[in-house]
Amino acid sequence: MPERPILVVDDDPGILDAVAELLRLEGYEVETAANGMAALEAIDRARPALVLLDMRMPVLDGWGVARMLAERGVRVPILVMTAARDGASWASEIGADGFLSKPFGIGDLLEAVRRVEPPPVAAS
Amino acid sequence: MSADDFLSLVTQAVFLIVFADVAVKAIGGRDRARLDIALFFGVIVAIIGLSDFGRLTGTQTPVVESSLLGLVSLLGYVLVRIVDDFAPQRSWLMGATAAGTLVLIVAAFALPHPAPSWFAALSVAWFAALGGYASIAFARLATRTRGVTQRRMQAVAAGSGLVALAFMLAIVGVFAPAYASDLMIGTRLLALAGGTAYFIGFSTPVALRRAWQEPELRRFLSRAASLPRLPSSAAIVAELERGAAESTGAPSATVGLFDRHRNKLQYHERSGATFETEPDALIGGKVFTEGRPFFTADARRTDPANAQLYDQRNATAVIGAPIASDGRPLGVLLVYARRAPIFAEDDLSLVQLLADQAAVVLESRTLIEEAATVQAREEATRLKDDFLSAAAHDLRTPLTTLLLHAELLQRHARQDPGAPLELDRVASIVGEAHRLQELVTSFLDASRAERGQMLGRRETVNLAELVAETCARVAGNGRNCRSEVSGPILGSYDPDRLRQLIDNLVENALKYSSAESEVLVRAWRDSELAHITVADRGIGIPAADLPHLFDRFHRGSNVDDRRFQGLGLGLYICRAIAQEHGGEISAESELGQGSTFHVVLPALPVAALDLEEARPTLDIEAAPIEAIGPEAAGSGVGA
Repeated sequence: MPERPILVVDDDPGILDAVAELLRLEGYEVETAANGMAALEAIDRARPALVLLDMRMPVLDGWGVARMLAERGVRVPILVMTAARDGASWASEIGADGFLSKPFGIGDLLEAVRRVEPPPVAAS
Repeated sequence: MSADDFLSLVTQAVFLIVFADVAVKAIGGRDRARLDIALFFGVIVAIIGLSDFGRLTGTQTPVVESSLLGLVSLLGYVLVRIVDDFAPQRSWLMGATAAGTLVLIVAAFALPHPAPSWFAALSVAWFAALGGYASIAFARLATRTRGVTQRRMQAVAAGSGLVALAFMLAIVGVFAPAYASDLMIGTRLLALAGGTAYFIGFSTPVALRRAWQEPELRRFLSRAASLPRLPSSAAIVAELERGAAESTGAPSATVGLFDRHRNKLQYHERSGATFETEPDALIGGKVFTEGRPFFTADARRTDPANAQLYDQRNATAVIGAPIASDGRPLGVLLVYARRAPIFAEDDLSLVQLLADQAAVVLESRTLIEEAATVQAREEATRLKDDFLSAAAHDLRTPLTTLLLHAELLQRHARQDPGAPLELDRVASIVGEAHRLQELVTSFLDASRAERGQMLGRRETVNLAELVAETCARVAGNGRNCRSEVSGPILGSYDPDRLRQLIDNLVENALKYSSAESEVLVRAWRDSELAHITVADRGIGIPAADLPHLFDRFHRGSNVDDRRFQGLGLGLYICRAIAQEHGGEISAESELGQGSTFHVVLPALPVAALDLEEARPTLDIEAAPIEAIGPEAAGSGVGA
């Protein structure tokens, strides 16, 4: 069975690109989505091991994604990425497994991801 | 003792008590009114004494009889004098009364003893007529006053009427001896009732005063309760003045407020103007500095230096009371009565009560204002907090991108120092850095706008050019912007800020419309004003948002935060730029149809401009008129 990917969801292409690149360098399989709708589609298709989810996005926001997943009974670990002050409360609101407060560097990102999803053996 | 004797004794006692009271007051106050009142009851007591003397001795000596008749005539005159003290009567009336009384007194002593019964009847009728007149006069005066004074006036009117009636019954007794003893009882009853009424009117018991004062006080208090919440201090003062005048039955009242910082007493005139005096000037100043209530029956005589001022305000009698809270003087309450009220002490105590109440009202007002200041300060702090958290939020996203890309570059360079530079990533870093720069600039601008320090150096700017340039630049970037300018439009502006204003409006218009729809920018001149409009066919602005459009951090309720990045500072900055130039900005919009922003700025007058532009090369004195022609103007404008 192939490695289950990490899905990165953010409407800011700069962040999306950089986060995806970093995780790939760490050996993770990575999928990306620029909004909530695309994220749901990717979750259905790729069954990711972890979703890095921006909250404020066009089309369908982070709350929308969490609600749709709950409705469909899909259980997937989520890490919230947000620039807002109340990131922690937003994360608990949607039952996420953790949150990353923007701005974050490589170190913060990898630490948060590793806590939920250990790096693939191949990379280590 | 018979019932008749008892009645007589009680009546005499009542009159004696009133006499004792008014005599003490007359000695204390010694004004004409008090002396007249004391005289009136003195005469009554003398009449009682003389008739008792006659009854006890069983004889009517000529002197006693003449004195009795003379005193009865005198009594009527004194009563009319008292009326005159309350409200000046016509002088011919006073003269006629005095003359009539004098004739009767002389006749009383000149006529042979025993006096004919018609003369006794005439003397008594004289008193009854004058008593009746006084009764009506007091009753009419009562309608002009209020509260305690009104009740006392009514009592005095009743007393005069009853005593006049008593004397009339006595006359009937003279002509109908058969009924004399029955009539005597009626006379005594009426005299007792009259005496009691006089007692109430002239020696009012404290409990009665309190009871009579209460409704007026209540009326004032019920209104006072809501006063501190009135929108302005001037409105509160006006209401206090109205309430004080109404409660005292005076035609007008005024409140002087002490301005601690400037050490002045300020009175608000009906016209809305403020009348200001030194804190010790005029009667108001006297009351204010002495800190106790004061009454004068004649303001002009009390303060002759300012007689004209009192005349202008129709102020004859003035009752003043200090307004103070916890011993801290706040101002003064002055009530202008139409006439000299003899019962000034009652009005004085009422005015002091009203002044105390006014102090409570004014203090409450101060507290409310202080609370509002604190609230405004808290609001400002909250706004600052909002500003900081909005700023932090907006800086975070570009900072994240910048940080991640920079770290990636660093990592790649470490792993493979020889690899070519990733230009995409560098471009991304530079782009985010620019975005951060813009954000920081707009925060600084907003902070400058807050302090009214947006503008730098001003110079003569051609607005038409600026508008056309902006639109051309945007159109060059593939966006649909069209300008319609009828120039030149010259004004003294900060060119950078004006460019920023037009840029902001055009960028906004483009941001909220579809890519293919056109943004139309127009600029024209209308006498002394320059106009710019920026119209789009975009998403429009909900009517509810329009009033707050230019507020700091305001973002349209139909603006999707995620699609349209922004701080809600752009239009706030635009308004500051327009206003600091002495202009204004407004917006019209229809949801789904588009919006039009309209900026109006002062422009330089065309003629003045032509000269100003031409000045370096033109000597106006020496040059022929033709030199300031169209060519000169055209070149000066530099279109």
